[in-house]
Formats: sequence, C-alpha cells, structure tokens
Amino acid sequence: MTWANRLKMTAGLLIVLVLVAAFTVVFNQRQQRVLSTSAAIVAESYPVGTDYGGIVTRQYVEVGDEVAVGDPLFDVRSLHLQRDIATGQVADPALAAGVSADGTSTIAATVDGTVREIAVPQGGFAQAGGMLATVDENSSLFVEAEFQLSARDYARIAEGNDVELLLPNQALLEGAVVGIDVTTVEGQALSTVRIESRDLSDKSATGMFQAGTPVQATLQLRQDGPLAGVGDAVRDLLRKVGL
Amino acid sequence: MARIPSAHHHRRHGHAQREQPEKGGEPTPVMILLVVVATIGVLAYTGFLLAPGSRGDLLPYVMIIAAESVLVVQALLSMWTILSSGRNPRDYAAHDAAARLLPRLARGDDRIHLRGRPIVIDVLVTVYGEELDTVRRTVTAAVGMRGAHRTWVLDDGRSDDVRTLAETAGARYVRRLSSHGAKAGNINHALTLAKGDFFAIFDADFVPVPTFLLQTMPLFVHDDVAFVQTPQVYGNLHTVVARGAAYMQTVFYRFVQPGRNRFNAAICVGTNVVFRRTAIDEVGGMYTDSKSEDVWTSLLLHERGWRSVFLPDALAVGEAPETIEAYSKQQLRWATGGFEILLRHNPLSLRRRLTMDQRIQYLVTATFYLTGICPLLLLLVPPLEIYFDLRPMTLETTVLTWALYYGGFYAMQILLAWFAVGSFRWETLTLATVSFPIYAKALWNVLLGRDIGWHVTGSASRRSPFNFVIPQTLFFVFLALTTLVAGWRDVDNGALTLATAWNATNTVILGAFLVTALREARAMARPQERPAPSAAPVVTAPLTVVARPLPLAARPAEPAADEPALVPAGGAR
Repeated sequence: MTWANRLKMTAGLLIVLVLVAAFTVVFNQRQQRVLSTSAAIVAESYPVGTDYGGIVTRQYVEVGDEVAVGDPLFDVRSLHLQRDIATGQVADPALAAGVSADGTSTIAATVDGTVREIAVPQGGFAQAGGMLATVDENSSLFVEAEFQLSARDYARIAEGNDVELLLPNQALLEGAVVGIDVTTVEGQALSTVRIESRDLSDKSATGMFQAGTPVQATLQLRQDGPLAGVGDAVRDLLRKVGL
Repeated sequence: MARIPSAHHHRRHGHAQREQPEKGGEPTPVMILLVVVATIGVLAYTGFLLAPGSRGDLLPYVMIIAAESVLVVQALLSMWTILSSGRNPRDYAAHDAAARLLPRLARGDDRIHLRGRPIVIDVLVTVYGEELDTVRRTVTAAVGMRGAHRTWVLDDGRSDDVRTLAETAGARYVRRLSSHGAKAGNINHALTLAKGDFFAIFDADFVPVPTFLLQTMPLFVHDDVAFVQTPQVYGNLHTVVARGAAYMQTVFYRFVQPGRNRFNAAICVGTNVVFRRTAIDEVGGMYTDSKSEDVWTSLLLHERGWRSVFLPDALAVGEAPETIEAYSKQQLRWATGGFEILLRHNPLSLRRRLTMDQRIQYLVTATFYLTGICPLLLLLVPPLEIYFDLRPMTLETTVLTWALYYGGFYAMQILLAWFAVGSFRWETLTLATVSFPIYAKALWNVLLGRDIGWHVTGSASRRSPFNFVIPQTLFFVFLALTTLVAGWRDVDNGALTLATAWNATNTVILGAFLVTALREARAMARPQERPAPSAAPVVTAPLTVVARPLPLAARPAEPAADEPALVPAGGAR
C-alpha cells in the first residue's frame, strides 16, 4: 500500500471505532429504558355515598366542579330517615346536624377535590349504602403505567427508579417508581407500576391533569452489564461542558 | 459453389446447441416460464413494500424503497428484454450472403464479397502496454483469420517490441504522437490510414477465432447495419475476481444483448466488433469524449437511424480482470460511462432521435450501475435497527410473511440466473455486493465532472489490492463490530433478530472479499505463482460469455435489516 493510503486506512479505522463506540453508548442507553405499553394519570378518588336510600331532591354540583371539604353535594330525602328521626333513633349529632325533620339529609364533600362522576343525578333514587358520586382528591394525581418486561428487565426495576412522563401536550415530567404489581403472561412480566411525580401531585385535578389523561412513561432500568454507567458518565460529561 | 462456413452448416442441421453450449440467444420455454413467475414475484414484492400497512420508520424505509425501486425496475426491464430475445439475427439474406461470401476461393482468391463485390476489411488491434505474449497471440490470430484483410496494430504504448512483433506477424504497425482520446482517439487516428469498407476492432487481449470475419460479414448484406457485435468471452477464470467479473456478465451477453437486437439497441462493447466505415464516418469517427466510447458511438449511430446487430456466438476469447485493481478500474470506467449518458445525454430527452424502444434500452444502460450503489443503502439498514431501533418494516410483519415476499423476489432472481447461466456463482454475488464504493465513486466523479485516467482492463500492476479496497475494509470493520454489539443484545434478550442475521451475513460477504484481497496480496509478494495465461485460448465448452457488468440475477441480495438487496436479472449495457 502507498503511504497515503495507509494513512487513509488508519484514519478511517479510527473514525469507524469512534462511531461504533458512540453508537454503542446510544444503544446501551436505550437498552436501559423501557417504554410503557399504556399509561394514564390516575387520582385518589373518594366515593360519595348515603346511608339512607331515598330520592335525590337537590344536586349542588356538576361533573368537573371543584369542591372543598364540607361543601354540600346532594340533598337526599329518605322516608326511612324521616321515620327514624320521628322515632328518635338518630342520635348521632354529626348526622343529625345535616338532616332536617322531613328526612332530608345534605351530603357534603369530605375532601378537597373535583367531582369526577355523578352516579345518581337530581331526581334519581339512591340506594342505601350506595354511591352518589366520586370526587378526585386534589394533589393526589399519580400515573399508573403498564410495562411488558422480560424476566431480566423485571429484576432491574426498583422503587425509586426514574421515570419520564410525556404528556399529550409534549410536556415532560420527572417521576419515580413507588410501587409495582406484576402478573406473568407467556413468560413476560406484565407489570403495573405506580409512578409519583411532584410536578403532577401539585396540580389540581383539572384540564390536562385529570384522571384518565393518557401519558407515555419511559422507565429507566437499573444499570447492568459491562457498560453500566458509561452512558450516564458520558451524559454527565456533556452536561458539564455545556452541551 | 462457395464454401459455407462450417458453423453455419452445423446450425442448419441443428447441432449447434451441443457443440457451442456458450451460445446465447433464444430463451427456452422453461426460461420464459421462470421469467413470468419471477415477474409475478417482483410485482408481489413491490406491492408488499409499498403497502402502507408494512411501512416502518421513515429513514430506513426510504432507504429500502430507493434501493429496491432501482433493483425492481432494472429486474423488470431486463426480464422484458430477455423475453424479447430469440430472433435469429441471421435472416435469409444473411445466409444467402454467407453462401456467396468467398466466390473465388477455388481460384486462390479469398477476398470477401458482399452482393458480388469484393470488399476491403481492416482489422485493428488496439495495444496500450499489454504484455507482449498477450499482444502476440492476438495479432497472430488476427492476421490468420480467414478471408482477405489487412491487420493493423495500433500501439498507444509506444513499444518498439510491439513494432517488431507486428512486423514478424505480418501486421502493419501504427504509432501516433499523442494519446489524445484514448482508445477511441487511437482508432480514429488509424482510420485516417486504413480506409477499407469495414473495420474490425480487437483489444490486445481478445483472440479472434479464424472464422470471425466469415461469420460476421454476411450480416452487412443489409445496407443499414452499422456494426455487428459479438460477445466478450473470457478464457482466464483463474481468480475469484475473474470468475465473479466474468459470470456477472453472462446474462448480458447470452440474453440481454440478443434481446436488444429486437429493439435495435444492441450496443457496441468496444472489442470483437465490426463497423461499416460509412456509418462511422457519418458520426464523425468514434466518440472520444467519454470513457465509454463504445456505448456513445452506438448511441450516436442509433440516433442517425443505423441498425446494430448482436451475434451471440463466441468468436473471440479474452481476459477478464484478474485482480481487484484491474476489476475496480474496469468497473469504474464502465460505470462512469453509463452515468455520463444519464447526465449528459439523457436518452429520454425530446431532442434525441430515438425510438421509444431505444430510449428505454439506453435508459436501462445509463441507470444500470445504480444497482451497484443499492447494496450500500441496504448494508446500512441493519445497523440502523441495531443501534437506533429504526426498522424499515413494522413489527407486525411476521417473519413468514416477509420471507414469502422476499423469497418471491430474490429467490426467483437467483433461480433465474442459475437457470440462465447454468450454475450459481458465489463470486458474482460477492463482487456485486462489495463493489458499491466503485459505483458510488463513478457517480460522484460524473456529478462533479471529474475526469479519471484511462486504464487498460488487463494491465496488471504490482500494487497491493488494499489500495483499492479501503472503503470495503472500513465497512467490514464497522459491520463486524456491529455484529458483535447485535449479538450481545440478542444474547441479552434471548432472541435472535433478523437484523443480526442480515448484519452477520453482510459481514461474512465483505470478509470473503477481503480474504480474496489478502490472497491476491500474498500472491503478488511471490510473483511467479500466478498461473501463466493458458497458451492459446481454445474455445472450449466451459467458457463464460461475458461482457459488461450486468448482474443478473446474481446479485447480491444482501441487506437490509429486513430487506435485502438484490439484484436484478438483466443487465445493462
């Protein structure tokens, strides 16, 4: 070979090596991440119920209304309650405070939150012990995501692992794993992971931030294997030098 | 009664097939069936690729579609050309002329007559630094051809040894002062001296059979025939490169060129050809502004309404490029010539006076070498999937579905090539896959208008083949490392992926080529080990008819992660 070509060959080999190294880091980073098969925002929800069955005579709120603790939600008039009052059986002062002599009880919110569902609208009949509505508690939003993982990857999830949440409006939130449920389907672990995010739990349950909003969750697995930490080290380096 | 050349005699009695197995021409009914089935396979594969449902990530998908479109279109057009072949270029008038070719032979006058008039034939042997023994064989054979003719040795190598050799052999010797216009310029210069009615051209390494003139001249009985081209046949299949290069062109000479007779678009390939002087004079001599003076001259003649005839009989035996250097330079020259036509003389332009048939055939010629660039795109698809998880096809496509469509295309192409050529050659597949840097460079040179030097195909230098395979070496290293990464991933995941399999296959193919380069380098270190070219090439059965590259089917299918590359049947120039 001529010297010029030897030089070319050497330079080319170096470039190839650098390229492969860079691509391998990228590839390894991707290997540490798992995309959710499905994920959605979920809220702690509180059912609103009544002990006495009766007609809903007044509905104070609509779906989506924000409520605070003690806000009236429904009036329910119950013949049973009326009879119990008449016979003096309602001795509980707390309950007594919310009822009138004609057997109408006013049902109030027990948490701050947003009305998500009304099961029995005004004019409907509420069963004793039944549910009238649900209220999503404020500042209780979290994400439930499903991941399909190989056994090996399942072993690499732990509480506290970082998760990136991508909202439908392309906003990115940081989160962390707080709980894992798993069922095995055909050798694959179908994991339901509960993810909490400070950015999310601060929000009141309205608009984009409400139960049912689909999101995409990218779970960072525990680093494993020969390149563990290399990718992060490179990323940290790039960040440090300002790229 | 005049003597009838023996080959004609045999053909008339139907013995020709057995005695000349390398003869091209008429596709058999089974071949036609294969072509039809292969066409259906091509169309099904195209439909599969284009179906919106199978589309994957944009980047690899576009790469696959670009590469496969070129391959598919070339495959379809060449199969169409193959189906069109089968008409014997020797019609009644030609047979009749053959019978009256040497009317005075009994009286010792072997001048060739056409329509009862004697004609003057010049035989031009172009020399440009070839080895003396090679030149001697050709010149001796040229002088010894039957039928009166004058033999001229056109020496651009300016060698006194060649001059002595020409004198000894009984040929005339011509040396010019400049090398302007390379081979075409050399011929044009000689035509100012040799003013016969017809002239034949032989490269210094193509040894004609004695009956060459007797077989080709009768076709000129038609006044509109500008040239009669015969195939390039190689006698030196000693190296992997020579075999690969030779078999690559088999289909071109056996089926595509005969098919082009039907379109009046058979092209000249620069050697083993006879021209009518008046036709060449009409277009101002051989075309000198291109590395492919032969194709350009054909194109200009066709534009002027001349007819060309391809005679699929092996009438001269030459040498295929034996080394990687020779092969690289030959392919670079041919590919550059093809791309020049595409970019400087678009055959579809309204200004060209060509028939639609000719336009299509020249377009195939001009774009043929794009198929050589396709493997580059396809080689890159598996790494894209391995490193970046970009897939050309959706994951919903099952391996079985994919294999069915894919097989319908590539397997049929290989089967067709195998059937057409008589055997399947891994050398061809390998060469076709690894030659992309040559064709890419040719395209690049043409786009930039950069000129390349002119090299003789046969000239063997003593330079290391690794001077010419740097891109291939780098690609091999890249693919080998990528295969390692992919293997590591697959072991991790416990499942082999198609991308890994393709990538490994591509690595092996490139590796095989580099092993060839290594062997060649080692053989050069011990110079005398190379088998000396067999003395007088005798036309024996296993000759390969070859010529310009055309990969027929035998091309590589390599590729892609989910898709491969293939190569069409048929060829281009």
